[in-house]
Amino acid sequence: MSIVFVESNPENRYNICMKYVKSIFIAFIIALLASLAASAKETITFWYGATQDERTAYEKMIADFEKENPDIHVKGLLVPQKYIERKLLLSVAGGVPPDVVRFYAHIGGELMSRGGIESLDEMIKAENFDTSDFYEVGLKQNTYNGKLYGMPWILSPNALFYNKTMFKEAGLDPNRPPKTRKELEEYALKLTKKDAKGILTQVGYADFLYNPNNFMMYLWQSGGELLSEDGKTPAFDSQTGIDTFAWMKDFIDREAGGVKNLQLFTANFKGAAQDPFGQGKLAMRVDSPFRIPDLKKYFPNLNYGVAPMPYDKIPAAEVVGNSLIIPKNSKHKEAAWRFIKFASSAEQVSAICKVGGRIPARISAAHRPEFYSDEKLRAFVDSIPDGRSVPVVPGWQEVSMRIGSAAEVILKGSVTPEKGLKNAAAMSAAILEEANKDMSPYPAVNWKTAGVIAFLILAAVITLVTIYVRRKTASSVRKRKEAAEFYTFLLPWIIGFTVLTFGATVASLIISFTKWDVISDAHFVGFANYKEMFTADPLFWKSLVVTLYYAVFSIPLSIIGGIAVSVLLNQKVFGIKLFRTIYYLPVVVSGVAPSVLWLYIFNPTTGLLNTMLTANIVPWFTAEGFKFVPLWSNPPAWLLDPAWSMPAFIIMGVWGIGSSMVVYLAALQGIPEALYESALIDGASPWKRFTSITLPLMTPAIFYQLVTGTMYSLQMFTQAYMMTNGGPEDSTLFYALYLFRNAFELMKMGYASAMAWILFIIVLIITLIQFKGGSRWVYYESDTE
Amino acid sequence: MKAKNALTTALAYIIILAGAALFILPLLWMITVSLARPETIAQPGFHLIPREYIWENYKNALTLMPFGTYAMNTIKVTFLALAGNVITSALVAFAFARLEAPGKNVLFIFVLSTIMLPSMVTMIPSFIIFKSLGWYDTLLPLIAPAWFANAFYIFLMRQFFMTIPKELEDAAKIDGCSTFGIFRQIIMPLSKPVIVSVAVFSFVAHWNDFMSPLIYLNSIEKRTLALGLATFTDVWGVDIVSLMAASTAVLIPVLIIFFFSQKYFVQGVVMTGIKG
Repeated sequence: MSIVFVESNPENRYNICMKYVKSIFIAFIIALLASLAASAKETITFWYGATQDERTAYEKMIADFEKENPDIHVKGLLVPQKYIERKLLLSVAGGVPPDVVRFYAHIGGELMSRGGIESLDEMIKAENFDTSDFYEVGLKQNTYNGKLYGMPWILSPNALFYNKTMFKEAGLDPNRPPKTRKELEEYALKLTKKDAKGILTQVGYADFLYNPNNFMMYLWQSGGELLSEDGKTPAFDSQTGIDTFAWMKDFIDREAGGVKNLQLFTANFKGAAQDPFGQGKLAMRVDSPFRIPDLKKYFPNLNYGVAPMPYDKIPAAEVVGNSLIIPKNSKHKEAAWRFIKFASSAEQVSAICKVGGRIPARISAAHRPEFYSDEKLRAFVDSIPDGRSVPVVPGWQEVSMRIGSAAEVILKGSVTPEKGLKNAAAMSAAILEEANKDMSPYPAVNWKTAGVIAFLILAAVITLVTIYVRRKTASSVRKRKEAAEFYTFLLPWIIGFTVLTFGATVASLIISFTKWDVISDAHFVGFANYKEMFTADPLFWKSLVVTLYYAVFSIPLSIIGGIAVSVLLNQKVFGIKLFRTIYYLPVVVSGVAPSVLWLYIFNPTTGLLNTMLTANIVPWFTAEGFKFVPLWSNPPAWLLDPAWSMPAFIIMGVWGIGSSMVVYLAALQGIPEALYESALIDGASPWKRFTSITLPLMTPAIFYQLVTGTMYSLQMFTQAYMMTNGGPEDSTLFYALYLFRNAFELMKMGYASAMAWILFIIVLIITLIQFKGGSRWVYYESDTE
Repeated sequence: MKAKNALTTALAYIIILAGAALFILPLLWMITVSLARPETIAQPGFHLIPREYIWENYKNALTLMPFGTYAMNTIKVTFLALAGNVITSALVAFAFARLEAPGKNVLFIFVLSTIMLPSMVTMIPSFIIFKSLGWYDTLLPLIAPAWFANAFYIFLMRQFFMTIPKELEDAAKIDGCSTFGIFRQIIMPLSKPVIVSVAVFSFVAHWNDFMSPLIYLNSIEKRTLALGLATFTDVWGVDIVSLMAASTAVLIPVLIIFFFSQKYFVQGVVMTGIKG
C-alpha cells in the first residue's frame, strides 16, 4: 500500500519535503539573525558578595543600568564572600575573569600590587573623570605605586557603639560617650561586673579580642605606623608600638583580670543573633555601620548610641572598604568601566548602602539625608576623613598574620610586648623583602615546552610498560590474554589519568620549583621552596606536628569505634535501619551547620559538653557520705585553650565514624552465617567468635580504613578552616590549612606546591609501609588457594 | 540461654540508644533553630527540643533561592556522577582484584598515589584543563571526573572483590564464561553491599560538594543546592534561621536515600551466591 502511495504522489511527497527544507532554512536564518542581534549586545559579568537583603538592591541596580545602556547586558553573580577571592584567582589564572567584581579593598591590595587588577587611570584620564568627590581613605586603599586600581565604592568605618541603658545603670551620663583613652578605661572599669566566683558577667569594653588587629587603630592614634613610607620594611615595632601593646595588655588585665577571662566571656556569644552588645552584656564596642541592621533585627528595643573612637593625640579609626575592580585580562574593559561609573553614581551607591547599613565612598552621597540625618550614621560619616586603612603592598596579608600571632601571645603575657613585636618585625622584614624581590634574573616557566616534554615522557613510559608487559607474558598465550584484559578493564582510569590528572599533577610539581603568585609569571627558583620549608619556616614544622598529633589519635579511634558501632548495628533488632541512619547523620550534614553546632557544644561555660561534665551525676562515697559528684569539676576551655583544642578536634573526628561504619557493615554482610553456626556448635564464646571469625573476615575492610583514614587525616582541612582557622596560638594549624593559606591567601603557590609534594612523599611512604605490613595480617578469601 | 540472650540484646539496645542520642544532636539542633523565631535564638541559653514551630521559616528559606532549579541541577549531577563512579570504579577494581598482569601491584600503588597529593595545588592546573576542554560554566567538571574511576572507590571495591572465593570464578570459566561475564554475573551480584556503600559515598560527596560548583559555574541557573547554601553564609549577618531551615531541607533527601539503601545490607548475600 505504501509503495503505491509514494508512486502515485511523488510530486506531492517532494513538495512536502521542500516545505520542510524551506521552513528549516527560514528557522535557521531567524536563529542566526537573533544570535547576531544578541551578540551585538555586549555581556559583562559582575561578581558580588551580598546578604540576601542586599541582593534585591543589586538586582535593581543592574536592571537600571541595562535600561540606560541597552547595548550592555550585565550578568550578575552572587558569590559567597568567603570564597570570592579564590574564585577570582582561579578565573584570572584560567583566563576567564569576570569583568567587574565587588572586592574587599584590604585583600585587594595584594592583588593590585601584583598586577591582578586593571588600572583605571587611563580611563579616568581620557574622560577627565572627577575623583575629588571620593574620600581620601577610599582612594588610598585602591592605590599602589601612584596608580588607581579600584573605584572606591562602599566604606565601613569603625566607631564606638555604646549602650545608653548600661551607662545609666552605672551612673554615667548616657549622652556623653568617652572622648579620651583615659575616659574609655574609666568607663570600662565602671561597666565591668563579676560574679562571686570571679567570672565576668558584664564587660565594659572587649575589642582587643574581637579583632587583635585593632592594635592598628591604637597605633595610628598614637602617631605610630605599621610599615615604613615605601612599604618595604616593618615599623610597628617602634617604641610607640611597644607602648601601645603595653597599654592594651594593662587595660585588659585591670578590666578583666587577664585575657583568658575575656575570652571565656566572649565565647558565650556566637553570631549576630547572640551579639553580647545586643544582649546588654557588653557596654562598648568598636564596630562598623553594618552592625546597625542586625541590631535592629534581633534587638529592636536596644537603646544605644554611636560616637567617634576616643583618642588622645590623633583621631584615627580603621576604615574597611569595598571597591569595584576590573580583573586583569577582562575582555570588556570599556563596558565594565561604564558599569562602574554608573554604580558609583551618588544615587546608585546610596541605594546599595542604605540596605546593607554601609556608607558610600562618594562624599556627596554620604552627606545625603538618608545617611547624614541619621544620628548614628552621622557619627560614622564624620569619622571617615580621619580614617586610616591598611597598607597596599605585596606581602601585607602575611605580615598582618604575624602581627595577629604576636598580639595573641603578648596579650596573654607569654612574651613582653617588646620581644613579641621585635620577633614579628624580624619575620615581617623577611616576608616583605621576599614579596618585593625582583624576579627578572630567574627564568620564567615556559608552559608550552613543559607540556610537550611532560607528554613525551608519559608516552615513553606507556611504551616501556607495554614492552615490559609483552616480554613478561611472552611465554604464555593465556597470560598475555589476561594481561590485555587487565589493561582493558583499567581503561577508564588510564584515560582519566592521562587527560585530567596527569597534566595537573606535573604542573604542580613544576610549580613547586618556582615562585608563583598565580597572577604574574612563574619563575624557577630551584629548591628554594624546599629549603625554606626545612630551614626557615617554624610554622611548617608546627603544622606537621599538629597534623601528626591528630592522625595518631584519630586513626585508631575511628577504626576501633567504627568496628564497635558496626557490630552493634549489625543486629536484627527493631528500628535498626533508623539507628544506622542516625549514626550516619553527622557525616551527611555539611557546610557551616556542624561548625556552628560544635562551637556551641565546646563553649567553655555554657556549652553542652562542659555542662554535662560539671553536672552532679556520678554517685560517689565521700567523707560526708553518699553523694553525686561531677565527672570533672574543672573542665578545660577546649577550642580556646591551645592545649585542649586538638583533643576537641579528635572528639569531633569520632563523631564522623558513620562512614567507616558503612564500610564495616558492608564487610559484615559478607561473612557466611554457617561459620557462626558451626562455631556455636563447637561451643565458642561470643568473644571467641568475634576474634576468630568476625575480625579476620573484616581485615580487608579494616585495611582499607587504615590506609584511607591515614590519607584523610593527614589532609584534614575543612573543620579547622571553618572553626578555628588554625588558632589558638597555631595549635590547630593543620598541614593542609597552612598549605591552603600559602596557596590562596598569601599567594605563594610555589611554596604551597612544595609543601604538597612533601606531604605526598610522607603519605606515600606510610602507605607503602602499610601495604608491606598489611600482607601479614589482611586475610583475603580468594588468596587461599 | 534464652534469658541471657535477651539480656545481651537489651544491653546492646541501651548502648545503641545512648550513642544515637549523641549522633542525632546535629539534626535535632538544626531543626530546633530552623523552627525558632530570630529573637528566641538571641536569648541566652539554648534548647535542643523545639519550643515553637514557625513553619514559615521553611517557606522563606526555600524562596530565597530558586530551589527547584538548584535541586534539578543537583539531582542531575549527583546521579550521573554516581553511575559513573560505580560503573568505572567497579571495572578497575575488578581488574586489580581478579586479574593477573605484570606490574599490577606497582600500578595499584600508583593509582592510590593520585589521591595523596592535596587537591589545593592541582586546583589551578585542573581549572585550566577543564576550561581548555570547553567545560567552564557547564556541569561537566562536576560529572565527568566520576566517569574515569575514583581511586578511593577502586580501593574499597577491590578489598571486597578479593574476598569472594576463587572457586566460583573457576566454575564459571569451565562453563565458558568470559571475563566480562564473570564480572557482571558473579562479582557484581555478590558485591551488593559494597556497591551500595560506594553509591552512598558518591551520592553524599556530590550532593554536598560546593567547591567545584563554586569554581566552575558562572551562571546562577546552573548552580547546585550546596552552593546555594554556601551563599547564605556570608561573613556578615548570617541569617541562621533560614540557613538551618534550608540546610535541613537539603539534608532530608540524603537521609531518605540512606535509609532505603540498607535494603541491600543483608547478611549472607555472599552465602546465597555460593549456595546458588
